Amino acid sequence: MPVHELNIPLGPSHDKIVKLTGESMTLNMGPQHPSTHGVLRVELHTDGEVVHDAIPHLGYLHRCFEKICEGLPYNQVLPYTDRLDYCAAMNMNFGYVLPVEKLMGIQVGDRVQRIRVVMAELNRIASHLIAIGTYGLDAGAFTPFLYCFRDREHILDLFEQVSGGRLLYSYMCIGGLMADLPEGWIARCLEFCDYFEPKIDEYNNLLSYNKIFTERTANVGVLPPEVAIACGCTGPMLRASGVKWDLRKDEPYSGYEKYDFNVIVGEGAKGTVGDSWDRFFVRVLEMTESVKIIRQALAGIPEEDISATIPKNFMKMPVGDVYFRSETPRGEIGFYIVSDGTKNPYRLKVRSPAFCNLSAVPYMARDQLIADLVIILGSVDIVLGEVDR
Amino acid sequence: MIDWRDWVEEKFPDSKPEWIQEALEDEKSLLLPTEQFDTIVRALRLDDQARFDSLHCIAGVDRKQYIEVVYILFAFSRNERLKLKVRANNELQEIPSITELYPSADWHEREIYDMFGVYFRNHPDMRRILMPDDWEGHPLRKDYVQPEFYNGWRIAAEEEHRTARPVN
Repeated sequence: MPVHELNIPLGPSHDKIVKLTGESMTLNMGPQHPSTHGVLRVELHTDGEVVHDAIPHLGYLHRCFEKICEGLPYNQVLPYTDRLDYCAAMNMNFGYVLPVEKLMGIQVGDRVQRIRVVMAELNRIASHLIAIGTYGLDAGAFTPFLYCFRDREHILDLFEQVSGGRLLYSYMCIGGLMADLPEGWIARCLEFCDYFEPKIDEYNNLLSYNKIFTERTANVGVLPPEVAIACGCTGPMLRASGVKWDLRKDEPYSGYEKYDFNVIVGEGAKGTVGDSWDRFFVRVLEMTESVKIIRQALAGIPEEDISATIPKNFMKMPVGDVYFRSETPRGEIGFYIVSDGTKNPYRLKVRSPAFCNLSAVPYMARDQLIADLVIILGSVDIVLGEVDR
Repeated sequence: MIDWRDWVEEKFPDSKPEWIQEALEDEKSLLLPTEQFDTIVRALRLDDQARFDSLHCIAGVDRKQYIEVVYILFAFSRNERLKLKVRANNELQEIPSITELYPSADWHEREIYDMFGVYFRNHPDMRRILMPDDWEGHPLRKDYVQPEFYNGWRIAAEEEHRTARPVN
């Protein structure tokens, strides 16, 4: 069914809003606005305090990623993928190396697979910590933000030990990893897991179940599952609307089928299924699942050469195209790569999760208050580097 | 498992769909005729047997003779993916829009228009999305040369930086 035929229900709080019939006003939110989490401009058509239409304008951070990639060999594209989603650079590396390996027919060893999964899940926690912390900030709670960044710091330390970088890692490479884990890293990672698990209760007490916060976010920006699917939403945003869909479970890659974890879906515990609070809380619960996966992946890690499958060069690429998607903290990233047999990709297209998630904002923002738009945008958790590419 | 080529051919006898398979077996794609594209996609979207309820991605590829647009459809209920290809090879480079069937196509189609200059017929809001509205040319075309000036500003410093850099 086309979306304009769907009757999108509004939250109960909106019954109270008196529909004004005054003249409409156009407001620009952004591009320099703290709650747009980057440079995004949203053109608002308002009537009093009510938003009738919100039109996102993108492209302020467009860096021609796809054009640059056409002029680079496959291995040199990798550092650019870091810059797509700078909050989850490991997941971006992961999403890029998998389709290239599929195209080249490379099967990496168990150790490489496990290390990649651990890195991806650690980065998922780090990214969700930013999402949660800054979402609290959007809602006016400053303290949780500091707690989140305190714990994210431990993950960044772990990443610094393996890759040398704290934000952009380029740790994975096609066919393997840049370097093996340093001495004692596994013990330090498990130490972090022990440290981190009880902290989630702290966030819940501080923010998730906070009366002011739940009142502010529950029933705001409700996204029904039909609209979420129609708009191409993925990741926590789709799951918050009650659709049980996670690529790690439903289309497992890199050995995710071996690990036991739950797919978190929104239940509407504080309001309606698919409201902003659900989107927030799905991220909180996903962090506990990530910790579970990290423990399992590290438990049976074998001793292997991590560089055995790294190709010497990219001179003999098969001709053809490949589309591969993987689960990042923001949703499904898909790389569509067309190879013409040379060492450079003929065409590389990124299906960016935040780009598709952002396209649902006009539906969620319709007939909401201007103040709620900040809450809605924050709950989508966009990273503009990935939206604009 | 339905063979979608036969399925489409049965419903649209004069459409002549064909599978294109290159390097990998599970990455084959279905080439559809440009004129009937939206009617075939409508059938794939609404027919009870097909029900591809989600459009995952649209990608454009400049194949030099023509612009190829790749659609990735997905059916959540069956966990099945279908890759469609359609070619904008006429003079106008026009493809029927499928925004009405898949709202997620809206921004993807605008991006293809922005990057390749393919025009989507019946799209509600056909304008650039990533590049500025007054930008000249479509950057992801293979024959694109970066303009020297934009609104009077010099944006390309050296001649060799204006085309893709050859790598040894």
